[in-house]
Amino acid sequence: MATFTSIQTGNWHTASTWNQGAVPNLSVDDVVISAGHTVTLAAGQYASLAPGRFILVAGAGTLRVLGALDAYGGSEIIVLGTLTSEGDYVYVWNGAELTIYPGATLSVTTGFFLATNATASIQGQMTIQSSGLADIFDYAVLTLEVGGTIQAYGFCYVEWNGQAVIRDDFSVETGGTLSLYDTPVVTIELGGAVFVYGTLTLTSSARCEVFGYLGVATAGLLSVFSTAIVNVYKDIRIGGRMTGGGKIVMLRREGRILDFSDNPLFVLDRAYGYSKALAA
Amino acid sequence: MPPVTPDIPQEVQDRINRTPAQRKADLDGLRQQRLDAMTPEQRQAAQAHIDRVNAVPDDERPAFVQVARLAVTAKSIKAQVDGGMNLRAVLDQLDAEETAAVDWLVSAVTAARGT
Repeated sequence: MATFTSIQTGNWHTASTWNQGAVPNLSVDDVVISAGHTVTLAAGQYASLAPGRFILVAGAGTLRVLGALDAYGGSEIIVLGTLTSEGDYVYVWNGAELTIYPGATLSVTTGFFLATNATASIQGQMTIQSSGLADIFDYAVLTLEVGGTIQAYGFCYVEWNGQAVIRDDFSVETGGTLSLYDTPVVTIELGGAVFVYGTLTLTSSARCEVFGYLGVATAGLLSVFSTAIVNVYKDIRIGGRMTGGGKIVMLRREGRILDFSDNPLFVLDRAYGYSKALAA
Repeated sequence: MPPVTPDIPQEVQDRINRTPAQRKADLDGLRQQRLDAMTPEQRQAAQAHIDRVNAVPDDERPAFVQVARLAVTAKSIKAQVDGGMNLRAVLDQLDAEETAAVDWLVSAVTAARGT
């Protein structure tokens, strides 16, 4: 059992990449990617991080996963530099933890999976590229912390009891999709914001709690299908298209429905009482 | 006057209190950074993705999104099979409900492709 620290840029499975002069065994060893080094887990190569072990990517260090990396329960991936999923997948599951610290980057070009009670804390930048897929499911929780940003140009799924907590800016970019499916919960907290320039879809008992900002841009699409629900505690901005037979519930009489430029779409006059006055 | 919350760092307060317009401007900056880092081929691929998604009718988007997810999963399984994984052994570990779902999918895809 040892800590393997990169001493130069190179392939993960090349002994000369590491200070120990051997390839780390993630069943028993920890790994540090040093500042300024890029370590590549090549296509066809696979590494599995065992319980209790960690991978630390130092600031200005980069771990490129062109093959597959999975982190199992009780293990930890700590990123102060850059982590890229460009090959088969990065899979964090069964209680494992991923932390993207301020100034750090997670770039998903292919697959990123957060599953089965795993947690991810995004305090830096996460980008789901147009070819990428991020999937949060089976009681996994992704938290976008204050100071962090997520941009989805590809697909982002929160499904099968997965959760996402949004405390800063999450943008679903043009061509991007945020899909909530089968009893997930996405909570946009006060100070959090979700900007939809692409598609936001809720199906099969999906729930979105909007305490902060939810805005659908003119080119965006909001689909809330039956049994799905969006609970709005304050305001909601809808400048784009809407489909589906689900519910958007305005929970406070002070709540407003606005367009993406903050102009009121509806003015609720005498929300309580007998008046039918509803002026567009 | 933006709300002031005690006991949290000023920079966090400032970030929370940004207006939507400021947040949109921040996002524009990030988009530009990404564009600047892309090769022409990557830009073309990104635009092709946008065009493909926009071509799907609104009410078919959820199904399209799930099928796209399947495609990524299929790629991942293929890579592992190419690497020597015994697919039959893994499939045998599914329970009856999961097996039925996979069987349905395989037959539905085969039927759809045949029409």
